[in-house]
Amino acid sequence: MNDYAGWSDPDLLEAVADGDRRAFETLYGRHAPWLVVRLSRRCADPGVVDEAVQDTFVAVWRTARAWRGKGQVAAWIWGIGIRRLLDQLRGRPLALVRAGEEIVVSAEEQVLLGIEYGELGTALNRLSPELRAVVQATVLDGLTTREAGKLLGIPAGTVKTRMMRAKAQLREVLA
Amino acid sequence: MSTAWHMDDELAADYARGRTGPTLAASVEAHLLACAACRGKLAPEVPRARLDRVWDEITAAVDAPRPTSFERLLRVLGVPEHTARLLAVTSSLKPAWIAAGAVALLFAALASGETSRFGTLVFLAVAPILPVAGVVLAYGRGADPAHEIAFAAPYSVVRLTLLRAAAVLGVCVALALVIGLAVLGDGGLMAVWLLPALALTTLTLALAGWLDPLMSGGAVAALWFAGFAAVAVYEVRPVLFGSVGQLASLAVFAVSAFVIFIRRREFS
Repeated sequence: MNDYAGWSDPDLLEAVADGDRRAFETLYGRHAPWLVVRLSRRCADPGVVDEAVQDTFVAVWRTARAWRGKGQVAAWIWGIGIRRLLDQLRGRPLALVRAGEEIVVSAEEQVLLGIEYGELGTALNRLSPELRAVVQATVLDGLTTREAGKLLGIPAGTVKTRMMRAKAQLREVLA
Repeated sequence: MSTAWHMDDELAADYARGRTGPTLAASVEAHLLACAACRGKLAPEVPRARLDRVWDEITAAVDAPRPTSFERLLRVLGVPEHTARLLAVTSSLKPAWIAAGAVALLFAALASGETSRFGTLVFLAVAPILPVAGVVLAYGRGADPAHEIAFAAPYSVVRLTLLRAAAVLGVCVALALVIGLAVLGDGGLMAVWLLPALALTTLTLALAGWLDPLMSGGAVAALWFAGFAAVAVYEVRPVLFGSVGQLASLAVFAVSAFVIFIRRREFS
């Protein structure tokens, strides 16, 4: 198992695509913890989070070949994870979702990295929790309007209008 | 690009426990996707036991064979999982076998459309024997891919056999009914062979207590065709499928079922 410790994520994923179980275990050891933590901030029920993480890595095992080698493996895994969480939440009371606590911003990662101390961070903090939740789900979580609506328990149309309002307010503060 | 900004252990713990403000959490999350070192800092925040439990579930899911469409259909219909699996590995419930049976019946039925007398005879001769063939192929050394496992499993062989026989019988009867009604359009003709079919199938199962399934099936089929040929010279429908034939079928069924019940312990 130690032989795999030095491997990069893309190398591991390639081995997983070829059915390498130990590479898969290494990948799991690397990415499961933060995925659990981050999903736990979207859903307060640990059982649901565990199911979502489980589904995510089963999907990783089965579709490792589908990863095109573009971007971060972590981002790819997150994309699967947040959608599996949505699947888990389907048909459940949406009270489980603790959305509205967090936020974010423009799609640019670089901007995000420095956000806390910049004007943008201040601007974001001024947004109402509803608007911030929408910005978070679409920009930070990378969800579509429809998926964001599902996560937050609001219609897709509402996601769109809130996003527009959020952008307008940010523009005003930053102008 | 990992900038100078990184999480320290305190921030990692705060984030994991939801103590960071929204904007800071967003920064952390955006950074996490790009920084393996900071992702690693979150590892101590999740109990090892929890990760191991999820991992066990993952390996179980990854190792499990994907159920066939037939098995999934059975599950949807409310059949318990283990029963569905048993039925799904039954060779005569495989699509290929069912298709072959359907073709055989179809030709028999089409033949009866040509010459009303002999065609009907062909259909009546084939339809009751189809479930017998199906049952023979449903179990036995040569036919059952899970034979060795079934043999060693702590599971009643009689129950397994009857379960599969019932499933095969159901499929065959449905097949013959549909084809018979569609091609022959004779409701009366459709009903008369059901009891003989049941009798022949049960007889096959009863004989399988002594003989190899293939042998017992062959013997029953030979018997059936011989009897058929003997009476066909006169009027086959009144004799084999009339009240006398139906009563005889019922008797054969009763006796065979009784034999199976008596010998259920030796059944293997």
